[in-house]
Amino acid sequence: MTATTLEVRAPRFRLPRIRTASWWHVAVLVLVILAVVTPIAFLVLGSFSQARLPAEFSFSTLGLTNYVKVWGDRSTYQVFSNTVWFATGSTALGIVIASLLAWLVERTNMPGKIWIYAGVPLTLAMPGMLQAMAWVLLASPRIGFLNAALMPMFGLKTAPINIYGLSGMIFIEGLRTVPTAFLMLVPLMRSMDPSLEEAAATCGARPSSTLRKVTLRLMLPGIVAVMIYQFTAALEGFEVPGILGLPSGTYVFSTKIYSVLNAATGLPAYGEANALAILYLVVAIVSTYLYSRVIAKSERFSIITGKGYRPRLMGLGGWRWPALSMALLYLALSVLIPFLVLAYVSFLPFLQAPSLKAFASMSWSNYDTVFSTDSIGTTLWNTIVITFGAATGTVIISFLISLVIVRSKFKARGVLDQLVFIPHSIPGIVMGLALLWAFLELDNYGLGLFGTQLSLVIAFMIGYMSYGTRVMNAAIMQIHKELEEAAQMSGARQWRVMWRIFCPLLMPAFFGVWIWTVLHAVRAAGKPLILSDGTNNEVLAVTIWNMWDEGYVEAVGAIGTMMMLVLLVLTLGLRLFGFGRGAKA
Amino acid sequence: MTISKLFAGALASCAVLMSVPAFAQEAPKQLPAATKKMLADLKLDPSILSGLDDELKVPQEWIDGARKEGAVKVISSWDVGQYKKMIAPFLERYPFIKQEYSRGSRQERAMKPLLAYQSGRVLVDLIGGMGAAYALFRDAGALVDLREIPGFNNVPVGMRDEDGSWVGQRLRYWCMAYNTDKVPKDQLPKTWDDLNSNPFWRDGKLGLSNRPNLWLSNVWAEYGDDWGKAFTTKLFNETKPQIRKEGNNSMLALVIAGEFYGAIPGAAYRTRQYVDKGAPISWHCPEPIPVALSELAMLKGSPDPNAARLWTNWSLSKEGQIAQFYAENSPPVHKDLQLDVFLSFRDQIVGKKIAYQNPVKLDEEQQQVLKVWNPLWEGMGGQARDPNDESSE
Repeated sequence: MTATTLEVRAPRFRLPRIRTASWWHVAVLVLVILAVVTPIAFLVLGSFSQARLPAEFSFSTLGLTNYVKVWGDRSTYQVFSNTVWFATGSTALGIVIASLLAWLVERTNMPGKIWIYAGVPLTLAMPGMLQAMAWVLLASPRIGFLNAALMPMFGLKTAPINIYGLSGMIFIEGLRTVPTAFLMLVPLMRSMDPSLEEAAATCGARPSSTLRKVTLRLMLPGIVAVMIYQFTAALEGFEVPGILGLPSGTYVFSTKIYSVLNAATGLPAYGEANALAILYLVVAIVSTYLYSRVIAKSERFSIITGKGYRPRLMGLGGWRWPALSMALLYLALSVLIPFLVLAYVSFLPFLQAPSLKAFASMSWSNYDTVFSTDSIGTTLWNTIVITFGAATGTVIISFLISLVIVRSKFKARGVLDQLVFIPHSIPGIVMGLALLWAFLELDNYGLGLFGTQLSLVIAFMIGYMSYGTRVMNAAIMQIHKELEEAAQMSGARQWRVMWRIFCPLLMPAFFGVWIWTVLHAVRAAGKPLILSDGTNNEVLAVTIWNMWDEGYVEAVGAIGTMMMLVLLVLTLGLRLFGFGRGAKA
Repeated sequence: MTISKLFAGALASCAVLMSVPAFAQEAPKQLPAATKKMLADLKLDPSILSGLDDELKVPQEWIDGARKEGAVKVISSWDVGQYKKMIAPFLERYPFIKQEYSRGSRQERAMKPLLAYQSGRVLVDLIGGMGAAYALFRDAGALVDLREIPGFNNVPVGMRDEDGSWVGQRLRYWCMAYNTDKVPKDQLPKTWDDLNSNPFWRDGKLGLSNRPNLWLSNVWAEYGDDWGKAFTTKLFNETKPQIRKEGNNSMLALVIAGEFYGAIPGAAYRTRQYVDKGAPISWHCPEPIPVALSELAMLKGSPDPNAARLWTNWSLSKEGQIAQFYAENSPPVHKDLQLDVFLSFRDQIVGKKIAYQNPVKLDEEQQQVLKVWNPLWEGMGGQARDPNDESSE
């Protein structure tokens, strides 16, 4: 009889973490490096190029001429000043309105809160470009409907409102920053422990004093973080300064770069645009750095405790209805009035102030024109392909990056996390310019990227993957490793774990990032204006921009009205699947 | 030699602004339905298309090649709706050629295709209105010699490049558009000097875009330096117009809306489009009347060379030229179609002197104009114009 050796094997299951430095970890890192570093490298090189055009770039033509010209030009300092004022002013206005709205809905007994909860995030559906265009129609000095009504009414010789210039830009951009700030501030208000306010009240402090000395001070770190975030976003603003600033010669960095590239006269000065963009980039990166510092330190000011509580609502007394009116006024200024104005002009044969004659001349002809124009169909198709492609790509790449960052022991995952956040601080117009150089140079090697739909998909993916990974990081962290381990112990392969465990659980995050990306990509004009090339990859935002610039206001009204309705549906989708949940009543 | 230099003076060599003459050759026997409708709408006799069959004769291999290519990519400044209307007869003749048309600003229609070309890619077949970028295309050796296209010879010498790298496609009469509700007819300037002497136009009632090359250079050349300097200085310092960054089309929309009462320069053909919609706008011109040319070029290595050839040849034919007028009121460049019936606001043009630029002195004159214009423009907050830029749109 032969002895039988019974081999006892340990149960086979994989480590809960993905193995260190799998090939695809390296591949993800390389991809992110290529996506982030390559365009910036070309941007920097291009800023020293003295060649007439990017394709004529060579190392023998490098020099400091562009910097000398840009820095030696006094108008650059005016642009710098305008940019800072624009970003500061619009941030301040937006934060004040958003804080007030958040406070009203969270901490007071204002009636009709549900409408404000629902309405404010929906203002995300209004693209800044269309908002600004509508306000031009309302408040430009001579043709603005408001001015046209007010001047004869009060016997004024000059228009009382002028939407063009820095103040108009700040007003509209300020309105635009409200929904995001509101969504960020509502949870802050909601989660604040009221015992400190109650203690102040017990000590005899008046409500206004409590608000100033306790509530606001407790919220200050959070508000500062939101402010810096909004400041960075406003720095990037292109559409509003483009519509309201360019006609009056009020430039901010983004519009100055655009103007240099699209001068009505002469050839584009690509090198100068790059030199300006570098300065712009530095300002944006410093702001983002400050933001990350504030966020890192904000834990010291924790105001959420483990104790259960329910915030006490402040009674507004006779101010309840005026408060609601003020909140509704914001919604009217931000969405309702611009929408009605664009809808009005969309039915006109040519631009005219509201009158019986104007209403009598209304027809569907602008809509007929839009629907019967083949190229609009092509543009719409490009828009769908590019935005859906970018959204899908952003979800996939963000998921893979986050998986490496959160679930692996890959040594470079920290670097990866930082790298992927860099595009967040790069303004869209700068990234567009950087990618223009990169694509043109890479096309010399037969890649054929410039002027294609893929070029815009890549541009959007690079821009939005910062946001995508922030969301995915948080979502993946919430999935306990036990789930993976259980599946793996049951013999599930890695891909099956992904497909059966991660995907279903992460579906809300996937949808949220997807819809968020579509919403932002569909209305962004900065990158597409630089990277689009005719029917090959022109998107709706570029068509609207060009039509407005060329005076086809009525057609813009028709396209804009339809676009806003579609975006409204998408925003509702974002609320259902994504990140508006925190603000629900 | 610049585009403006080459075309300048060409109109003088044509039978300019005649009434519709009787044509010796017979009208074509078969015409596309779209052409018949076009002629009926314009109240033109089919005999105006005499010789069309010969004009449209092209080598069979072009047609076979175009059939394989199946598309043509054009970028220019027509509105998309106008392009569709214009191209209807072409599509009946060549239904196998799909139209991929896009409208673009000058930077889009010229610079982006050029950048792509320099990186080894050809994104479009045909470009209309290259403006100042023409020299870059020429330097890059990017343009096809159009002299092989039969229709090239339909365009008078001077409205086409001697070397065939571009060909004129349509004329532009640039002058002044005004709001008919705001401007009484007796306030319209009878001479260019009236613009400055009449207080009606002062303090922002006039809108000015940064395109002196479309009108001022022409008039300046006609009246001389002393007049030019005095007129321009008074225009900025006394009349004080609104200086605007908008494009010329947008300027017309602003005139209609009343942002300013008159706009210079305003194109007659564009103004006519708004008049046809019932907008309160019209076009007026003191003597002499400035005229410019819009050109067409084809890229080397274009993806659809045969379709592009057919398109260009048709566009330069009588049918193509009349279709263009039918779609957007542009006066034709065809040597047999220099007729007053193709003029918008003919009452403002016929009988008046036309201001061409002196081809010999053009560059010198352009510099002279900008030397005075740019500081005044910048003084009012605008950006200076590039002295080398002769773009029209």
